[in-house]
Amino acid sequence: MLLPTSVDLLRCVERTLQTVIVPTLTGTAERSAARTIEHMLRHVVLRIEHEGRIFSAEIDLLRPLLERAQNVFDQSFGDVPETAAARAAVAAALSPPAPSHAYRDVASLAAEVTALRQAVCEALRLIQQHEATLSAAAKDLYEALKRYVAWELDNEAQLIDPAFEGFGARR
Amino acid sequence: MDMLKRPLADYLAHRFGPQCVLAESIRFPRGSSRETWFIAYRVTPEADLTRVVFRSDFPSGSTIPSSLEQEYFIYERLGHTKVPVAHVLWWEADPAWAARPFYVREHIEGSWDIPHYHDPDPAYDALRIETSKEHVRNLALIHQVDWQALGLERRLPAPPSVADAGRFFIEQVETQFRNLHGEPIPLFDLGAHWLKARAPAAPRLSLCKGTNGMGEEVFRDGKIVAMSDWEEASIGDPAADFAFAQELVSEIERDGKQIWGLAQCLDYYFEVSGIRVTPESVGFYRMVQSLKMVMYSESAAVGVHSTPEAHIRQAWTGTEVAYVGKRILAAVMGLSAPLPPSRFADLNKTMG
Repeated sequence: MLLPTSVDLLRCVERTLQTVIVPTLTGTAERSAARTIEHMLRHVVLRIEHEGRIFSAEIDLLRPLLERAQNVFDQSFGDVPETAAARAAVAAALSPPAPSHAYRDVASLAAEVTALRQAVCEALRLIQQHEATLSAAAKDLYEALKRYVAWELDNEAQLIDPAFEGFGARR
Repeated sequence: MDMLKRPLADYLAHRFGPQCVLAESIRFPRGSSRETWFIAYRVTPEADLTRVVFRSDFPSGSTIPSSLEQEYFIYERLGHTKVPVAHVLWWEADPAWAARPFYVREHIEGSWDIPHYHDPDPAYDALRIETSKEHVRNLALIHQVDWQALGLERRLPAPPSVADAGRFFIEQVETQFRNLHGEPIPLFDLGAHWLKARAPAAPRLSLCKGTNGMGEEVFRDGKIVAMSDWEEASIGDPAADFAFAQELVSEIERDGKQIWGLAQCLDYYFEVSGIRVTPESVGFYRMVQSLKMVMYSESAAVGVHSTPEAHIRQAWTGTEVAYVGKRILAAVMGLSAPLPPSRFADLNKTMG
């Protein structure tokens, strides 16, 4: 079955909710819940359409960034327990081989993104512990991690703004 | 009322005897953190109407990661002070009746709405200023509560000193975030670190209300008769309450002259309390608000992930509200452009 697509179905559900169900609602709580459901349906459509691509792009960005972080840890922070812990966390996140042609569902991509983001948190913690004495390479890494955070937020905007902005009260 | 395992009328009969009659049950349509129900009953068919408020977590827990039991405790303790609060009546956790624990407090007659407060006509400026002063006077009352004598630090962790108040507040938000065991959010870690480096000292350590202002307090005849929603109460810098105040610290400008606003509020607050809060500290806690937003929206996200019984409003909090909180936090640190104020205002629009 190719048609109707999941997105077609969700849009049909949204339209039915708006035209058949909502006009019959009289209570504030019921109308409020229905309105929030409409927003959620539009948001889910965007996630179906874009989430896989966004996660793949994030993995492609974070893997080399975290490999770079490992080198900076070795050069800049010496062999202290915190460095070893951060290095181990980053290594663990990078350890699953990046599959090149196997099909990956969104849940699998999300799991990898979660592990990589956890490694980013560990890297940030280590850098912040040494913030007063960062090497040039560590400063560059810190700025690159901040740029990643801003980039990730822009990706999230693609899943949020078109679903909510201009569609009125949320609840 | 899914906080109850059996019909509400049966529960009231269980509490007050078989003649007790349920007259009304209305779910409060606002509120994104917990469930609030307004209940009216008569102990006998001829008795006067009694109005009470039932309060519980959502089936998936509270969006604010402090316990319902803590909220009950704060209400109970404040019932022994001059702070206007509804008195708590009972706590219910009997598994024969409660699907999840809830408590009941008295219902205070009044309204969250202040007629004409939002009417831009300058004729209502005096109303706006007097309402703001009334709120400031009550914040001053809260901030001067002897929280040690009340034993509030048994539930609300207190900073070790006034110098540590700002940093301690951030650390509390971090602890709440970690205890959620949700997803890693690098922006949250960046934000917490950035804010701790800028945390101001407090003029004193006070009981602070947390969320306060329009929509939280009950007014009657221009006076606050009940202060509600204590789930974000903390011990710390009174500046935080000015930062978290909803609408009641409004800036009013007429003919190019500012006739009311934060500066005037803080001066008036000093006049009635003797506590000097600086606009800089209020500015700091306004930035902290975005960190809190990220934390509690993650709490909602975790709640929705944990059970399909989560409230749809938590799904929204875990998605758009989370995103907006992150945007504001990123802008605070200069990582992204500020959101237009209209975007934030959109979040607060309701179906009425």
